[in-house]
Amino acid sequence: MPQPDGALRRLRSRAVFDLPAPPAGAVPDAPPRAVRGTIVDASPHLLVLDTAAGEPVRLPMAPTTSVWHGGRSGPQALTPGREAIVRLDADGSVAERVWVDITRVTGTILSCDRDGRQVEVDGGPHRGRTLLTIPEDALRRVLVRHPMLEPGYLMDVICVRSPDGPRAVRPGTSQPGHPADRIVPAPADAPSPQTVQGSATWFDGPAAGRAAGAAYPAVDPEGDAGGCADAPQGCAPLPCLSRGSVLIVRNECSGRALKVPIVECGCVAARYCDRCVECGTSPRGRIVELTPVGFAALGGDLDAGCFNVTLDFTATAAAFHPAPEGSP
Amino acid sequence: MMTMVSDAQVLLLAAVLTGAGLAKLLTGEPAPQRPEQIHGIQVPSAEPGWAVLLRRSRPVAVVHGLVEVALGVALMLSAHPAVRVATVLLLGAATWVVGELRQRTPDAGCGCFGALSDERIGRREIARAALLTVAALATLGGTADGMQVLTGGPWQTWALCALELAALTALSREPAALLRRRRRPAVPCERRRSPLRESQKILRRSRPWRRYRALLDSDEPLDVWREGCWRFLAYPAHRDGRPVEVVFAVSTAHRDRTVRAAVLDPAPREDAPSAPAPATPTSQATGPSTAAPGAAVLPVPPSREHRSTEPPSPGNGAETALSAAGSSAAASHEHHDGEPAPPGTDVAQAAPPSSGSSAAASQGHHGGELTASAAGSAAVKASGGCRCAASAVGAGGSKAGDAAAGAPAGGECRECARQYVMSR
Repeated sequence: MPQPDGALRRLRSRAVFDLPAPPAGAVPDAPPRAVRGTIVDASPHLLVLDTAAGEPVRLPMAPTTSVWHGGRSGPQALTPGREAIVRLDADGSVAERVWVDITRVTGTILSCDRDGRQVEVDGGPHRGRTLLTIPEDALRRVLVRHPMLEPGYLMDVICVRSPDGPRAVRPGTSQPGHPADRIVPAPADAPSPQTVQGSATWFDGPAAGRAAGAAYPAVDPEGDAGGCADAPQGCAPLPCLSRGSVLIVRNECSGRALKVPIVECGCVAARYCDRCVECGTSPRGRIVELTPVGFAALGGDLDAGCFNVTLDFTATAAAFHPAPEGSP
Repeated sequence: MMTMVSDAQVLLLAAVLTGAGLAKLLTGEPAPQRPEQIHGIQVPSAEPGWAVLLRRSRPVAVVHGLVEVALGVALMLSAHPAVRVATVLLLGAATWVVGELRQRTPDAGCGCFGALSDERIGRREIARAALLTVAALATLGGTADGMQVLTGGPWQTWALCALELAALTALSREPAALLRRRRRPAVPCERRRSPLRESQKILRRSRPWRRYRALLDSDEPLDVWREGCWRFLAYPAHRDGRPVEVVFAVSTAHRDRTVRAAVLDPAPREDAPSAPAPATPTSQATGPSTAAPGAAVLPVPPSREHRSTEPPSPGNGAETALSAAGSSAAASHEHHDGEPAPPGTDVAQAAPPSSGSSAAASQGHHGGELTASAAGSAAVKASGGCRCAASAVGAGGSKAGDAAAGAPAGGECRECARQYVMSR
């Protein structure tokens, strides 16, 4: 599904309401601190990535640069042809962390073999089904936080790519104790505030791309908005938006904020009514899934899985303005 | 004694049939409790059957409701045996269908009282239908119509009818459903699931639709999207021979919905700085140096004179230019409230005042005539929606430019002010 022209939509909606733009400059539009691409060349001092956007990007490496490839690794993991996601340091001059061939499997367990080594996970209508392999050394760690490896329950694991498909490394978050179809939604009459706090994770899939973006659980299913017809009501009271709408995402752990467009319906995230405990305990509800670049640009560690987040809807001005007369 | 029992059944059946028919017509179909898909996986449907198909068909429900109302009225007005036999047949068939539905799709509810009957079908629904069939059979021996019983019947008939109605109410789940409906908390408009069909229905009854309907090239929208309390529908249109877009915003609130509209003029970007479109007075008002290359020109909202029932003609009144970087669309927008608003209402005045960089835009909006007469031009730049005044070449434009340069605005506005300074 092509990404709608969010800028044109914002122009149209502001024209209808004669709205000004939100103040620019306070929140950067583009992620200046994360890059995703295929490794072209690597040395202890330089990493060259093909981002499919013109010339390859050359990123200086430092002795302190940390490399992840299924766990802590070194420069030997930077093999040409592999995919890398790089987070730059505060100055944006040196690679701070590099994740090689990292991916994530999130969704509902469809089936698993007796040993729990092969698990088929349904990632929803956008991401499809994935056959996940859980090696022996990772199985214990996964089982600690996913005690119900049974069909109908949710799963969320950080994986490394392999020729046989994704291989589990560690659990992304703790498994909710309820089956996937038993969610306690937010009260029907709960209004949506202009800022909502909760948990943010990241996702991998066709829509993840190489830019910052978000999968939002409350995308409207009608017209060209791009939502899933069967997306459940999540446990956080979120306003209905569309693909192309802009969110201001603030990482409460790092303090960084970024404007990101909604690129996918987060119908999987809506099923998770969990908390993130990276820096304090977040309110219940997975309110956004970020693309890997967006997650890293906000200071998140991809191998950690989540951070506490505040969503600000003021960039989508028409969402709350002006309230229709007589609205309940 | 038998006559009294028969007469009481006539009143009872007339009340029940009329109530059930009106409920079917007014409350619509209950929402299906089982989704077709769960998380992208098809839910296996129950074994299909003719009763299920009839149950889910809205036209069948409407016809059924009309027949019930007609029979209820006929029972009151006529003692003809054909009316009573038809009642027996209808209630007998209903008993059979409810039994069939209980076997096939009990979760869907029987729909006996429209959307009020959305709970799982149990024995009591079948028992109720069977008892009503028995009551209909009891009317076959009577000779008085409902009005005769109502006006001249003994009190015992009334008492028996009231007793039966009370027993029927106790047997039914619909009164509780009705109470639940009245107590149900209202979903806030920004979270309310509003079907597209509902928005289109509201839109087509609204005054903005009637006003701009003649401009539209097609009834099929170019784009439909949602932002909180509003669903937007953008339509291709032509005005004065030029292609434009008409954008409607339809409220998603549960009640008191409003509709707003704007006409966007998609002038080509390259037209803005050097070759203003001759039909757009905005372009005449825009100095070539004020719009950045590649920016499109958005004419300002028209003055109140434009808010007539006729679309504004080109060159009528003052308009301010809004340049929209990053978009090929240019907007000449007009605002309307929905139906409750009186003609000529300036919706923008009802909106909260814009602050910061929008101050100049608001000035241009409400004081369009003043701007045109004093300066003949004023430009407001909205880069990605951020709006600030930029200078127009000529007298009077400098004040607007100064206001922009001093406005506490974001990056686009600073860029706008920079361009203004450079242009001088």
